[in-house]
Amino acid sequence: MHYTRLGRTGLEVSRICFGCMSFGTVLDERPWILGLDDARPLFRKAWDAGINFYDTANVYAAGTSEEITGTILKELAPREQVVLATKVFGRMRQGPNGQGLSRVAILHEIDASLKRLGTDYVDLYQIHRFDPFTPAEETMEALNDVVRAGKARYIGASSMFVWQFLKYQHAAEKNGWTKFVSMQDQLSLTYREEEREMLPLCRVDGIAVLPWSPLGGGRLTRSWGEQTKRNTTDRYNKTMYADPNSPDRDVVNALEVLSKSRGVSMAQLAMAWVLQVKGVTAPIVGASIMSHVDDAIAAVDVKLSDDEIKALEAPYKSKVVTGF
Amino acid sequence: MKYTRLGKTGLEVSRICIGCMSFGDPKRGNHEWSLPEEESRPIIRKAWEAGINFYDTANVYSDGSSEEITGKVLKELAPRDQWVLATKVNGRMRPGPNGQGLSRKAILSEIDNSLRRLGTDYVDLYQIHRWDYQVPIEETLEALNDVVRAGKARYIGASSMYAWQFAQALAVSKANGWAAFVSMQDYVNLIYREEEREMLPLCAAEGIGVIPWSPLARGRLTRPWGTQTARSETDAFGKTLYKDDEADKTIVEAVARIAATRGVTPAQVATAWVLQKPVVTAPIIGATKLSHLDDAIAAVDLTLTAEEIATLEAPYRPKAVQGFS
Repeated sequence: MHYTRLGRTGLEVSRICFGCMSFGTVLDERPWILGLDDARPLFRKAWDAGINFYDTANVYAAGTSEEITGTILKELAPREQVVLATKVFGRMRQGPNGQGLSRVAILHEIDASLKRLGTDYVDLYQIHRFDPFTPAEETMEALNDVVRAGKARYIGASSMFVWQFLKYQHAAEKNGWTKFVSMQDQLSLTYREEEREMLPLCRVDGIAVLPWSPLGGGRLTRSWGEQTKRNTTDRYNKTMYADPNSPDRDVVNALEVLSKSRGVSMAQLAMAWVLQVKGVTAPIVGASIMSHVDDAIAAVDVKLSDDEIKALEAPYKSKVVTGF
Repeated sequence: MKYTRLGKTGLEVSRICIGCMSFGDPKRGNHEWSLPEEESRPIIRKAWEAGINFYDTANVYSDGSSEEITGKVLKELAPRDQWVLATKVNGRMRPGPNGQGLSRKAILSEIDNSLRRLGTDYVDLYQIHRWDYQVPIEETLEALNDVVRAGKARYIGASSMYAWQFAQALAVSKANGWAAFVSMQDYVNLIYREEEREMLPLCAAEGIGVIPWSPLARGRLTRPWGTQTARSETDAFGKTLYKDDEADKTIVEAVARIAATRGVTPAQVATAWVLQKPVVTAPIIGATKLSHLDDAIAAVDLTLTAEEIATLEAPYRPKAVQGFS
C-alpha cells in the first residue's frame, strides 16, 4: 500500500479509503447492505493490505454502519493506528433539530457517532452536504468546538458548490477557527464536473480530495448494460445512472477496450484513473464484495500512460450536476 | 427606460448597458467590423436619448480607439455625472514586459491611459478583464483599491472567471478592508447557461450586480440557425464560442417561434430572457445598427410568461466552459 498526507495536513492515510456505506443492518431500501459477519472478512482484507483509512456517516443504515465499523476496527488494531472518518448532516430522527448543521445538531450528533463507533474521537469529521438554513459561522464555530473538545482531529466537507464551500472556509478563517482540510466529492470517468471548479480550488488551497463513487456506482466495472442487484433496486443509484442513451456508454466502452488490451480489470483501470487525478488523496471504495477490495488494492500500483488517459477521457461530455 | 441599482451598491444604471466594443477604428486592433466615430455617433446618441446611461468599453477594444470614440461622443451628449462609464484592464496594450496583466505596475499605468483616451477624470466602474494567473490576487486588489482611493474609479468589477477565484477575491478585499468587486461581467445567454451552476448563485448570495456579455450569442439567437454574417465569418474569438449543436438549434427555433407568436423580434425575446433573471442588472448590448437598439429597448418592457421561459430553457444541455480559461 502507498500512503500520502491528507492534503496539507500531517495526517498519513492510505491511497485507498475504505467506504463503509455497504455495512449495516439490512433494510428494505438497501437490500445490498452487509451485516457484521459478512463485513468482517472485507475489513480484515483491507486492513491486512495496509488500508488505514475508513469512512462512514451517521446516516448510513440509520447508524448501524458506524456500529459495525467501530466494532470490527477495534478487533483489528489499536485505535491510534486507524484513521476514522464520519459525517453529520442527514436526518437521524423526526422533528426539529433532527438533522442539519446547527450548533445543537452537531454537538449532539458527534456524541451519538462516538457512542456508536465506540471511540473517544474521530480523525475526520465531515459535513455531509451544505446546510442553506444555518449560518456558516454557526456551523464552523460548532465544528471548531468539536475539535477543541478533542472529539475530532480534523474537519472536512463533502459535495457542494464551490462558493458554498468557500463561505465556510472564509467564516472559519476570519474567526481563527479550524478550517476544512478535505473535500469528499463525486469523481469518476463518467462524472468529471468537479474538474471545473472544485478540483482547481482544492489544488490551490491544499485541500485533500476524497472522491466518492470512483467507479460510477459500478458502471465502470462491467460492460455497458449488465445488471446488478444495486443498480436495479437502489433508488438513488437508479436516478444517477438511468438514461439509456447516456454518453457514459462511450466511456464504458473505451474502458472495456483498454481493459482487454492490457489484461487489467475495468475496475482497476477506472480506479487508477481517479488515483492519477492531480489533487486526489484517496478514492472511497465501497466494498461489498471481496473482489472489489482486491481490485482497489491492485489499482494503487496500476500506471496509466498519457495516451491511455487521453483515450479514457475523450468520450466525456459535460453533464448536469448530480449527487447533491 | 427602467433603472436599477448595480448589485447592492447605490449606483443607478439603466437595465441596458451599451457594449462599446462595437465602436472603434476598424484599422486598429482586430475588430474589422467595428464602427468608426461618425457611424458610432448616431447609435450612442439614440441610446442616450432612450435613457440608457450605462456604457461599457475596455482598454483593448480596437487598440484603445473604442475608449476614444466612447468618451468623445458621450461628452458631446451630456455632463459627465449623468453617465455611468465602465472600462477594463488586463489585455495586452503593447509588446514586452508589463504591457498587459493585473500587476500593480500595469494597473496604475493603464487606468491613466484609459482616462486620457476617454477624456475624463474618473470611470464609474473599473473591471478586471479576466483572471491573471501570474499575479497574486492580493497585489491586484490592493492596486485597484488605490485606484479607487485616488478617485480614478468609483467602483471596481470583475469579468468571466471561475466562481472559486471570484469568491477568493471577494474574501481578500473584505479581510483587508479594501474596495471589493461589486459587479460580474460574465457570459450568459439562452445557448450558454453554465454560469447558472456556480457564478450566478454566488452573485445572488453576495449582492453582486451581473452584467452579462453576449446576451444574444453574437446574434445567433436573432436569426435562422446557420446564417453567416460579416462578423460570424471574421470574428476569431466568436468562432471559439459557438459550435454546431443540435440543442442550440432547437433553442434558436424556440426563440423564433415565441417571437412570432408574440409579434416581437427574436432579439427581444432572447434579451428579455436574460433580463428576467433576478440577479441580472443589465445585459451588455453591442449595437452596430439602430435596429439593434430598438430591440434592446423594447426588450426591457417585454415580460415572458413562466411557460415561455420553460419552453426556451428546456432544450439546453450542459457544455464545457467557454469565454475564458
